[in-house]
Amino acid sequence: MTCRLFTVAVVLLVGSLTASLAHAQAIFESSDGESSLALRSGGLLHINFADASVSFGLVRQVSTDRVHFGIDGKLNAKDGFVSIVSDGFALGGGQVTGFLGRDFSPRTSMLQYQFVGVRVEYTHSSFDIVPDGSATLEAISTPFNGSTVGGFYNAFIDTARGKGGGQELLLGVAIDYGRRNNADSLDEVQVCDAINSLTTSAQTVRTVSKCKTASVGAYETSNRVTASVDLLWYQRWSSNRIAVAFTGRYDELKHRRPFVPGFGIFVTESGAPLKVQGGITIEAIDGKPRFGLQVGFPF
Amino acid sequence: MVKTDPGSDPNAVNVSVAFAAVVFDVDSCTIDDVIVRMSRGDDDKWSGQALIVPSSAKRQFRLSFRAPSQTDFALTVKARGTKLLDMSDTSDKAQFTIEKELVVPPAAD
Repeated sequence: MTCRLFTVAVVLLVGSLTASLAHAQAIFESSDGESSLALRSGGLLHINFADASVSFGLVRQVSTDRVHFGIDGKLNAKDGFVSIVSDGFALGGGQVTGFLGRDFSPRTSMLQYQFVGVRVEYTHSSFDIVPDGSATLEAISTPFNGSTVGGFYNAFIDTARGKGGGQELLLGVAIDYGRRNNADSLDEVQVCDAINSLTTSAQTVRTVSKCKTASVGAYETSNRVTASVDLLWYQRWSSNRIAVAFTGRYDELKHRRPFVPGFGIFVTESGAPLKVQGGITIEAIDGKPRFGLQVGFPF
Repeated sequence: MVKTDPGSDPNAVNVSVAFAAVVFDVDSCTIDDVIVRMSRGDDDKWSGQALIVPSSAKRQFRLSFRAPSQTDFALTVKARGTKLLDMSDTSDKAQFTIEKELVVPPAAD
């Protein structure tokens, strides 16, 4: 137990230190770890429990100009955070994203702040897959290396055009193109190696088995266009401490139904609505609800 | 309004502005007609400096920023190590302007 707690503490500490040095950006995500919002803010260690990921990042402003560049890093646990605790650092993959963008601050528009940028993402992951029609039911470790390139647009919308009393929203839209895989759409199974033993005296069959989680089905990768949209609506009655989120994701390979709508409720830091501390999401993936929980530690 | 020509006046002193808040952008910062160029530092802290000719007259300090309403901020204006303005508050609109009067006093003989 002590060892497990120590492992978790090390994971959090490494993430914290990296984020501290990296001046991470504050973002919120859907349960699968995707986001189209790249907010500039203080440091943030971000943990997405549904995606079993820890992310941290770096945002820098080019001098006093309006050009910004950033880099994000994310690590995913192989079979959820429990696997990190029980199996040591059982990482399923990682992701590095870099972006370059410019902001605009029109004075009289409902769009009070805009940020347009391009981003490049590299993903490395590994899946245990039982191929379709496999006679041996052997789970084959299958690596995935994919890169995507895309663009994103963020806007802060104030229906009162900055004069107060209106509705305030954050909008994010992103479109990417590149290598994707369908591992998330495959059925998850337990593959077990069992050894049977028959004791002659009592005619008792004893079984010793060792199981591991694997995906079963036809694994495929290809270049696809994916898209995401996020709308965060600050609730005035809560002094902007609560924000309601509407999300949409489009990915032809990741899910059987390409479009995934979602809804979330997020809590922001008191006196800093741009710092999201955490929230819950619910998304309709292939017609089934998927709940997500994420927390952020702004500093 | 007190007119200043800080570049040519040997009596001009450095006035520093420190502003802390989680904002999208600081639109402008002025002390009367003198522009204070604000730049973003670490930990959501902004800072800037300007040369001001001291006088006993009151001057208008203005700082405008862009952020969701209900954003807390802290502001300090200093000259020669003395605080001319020290305040904190919460914004109530997305384009928020802090307007205060301050005096940049001449040095005591």
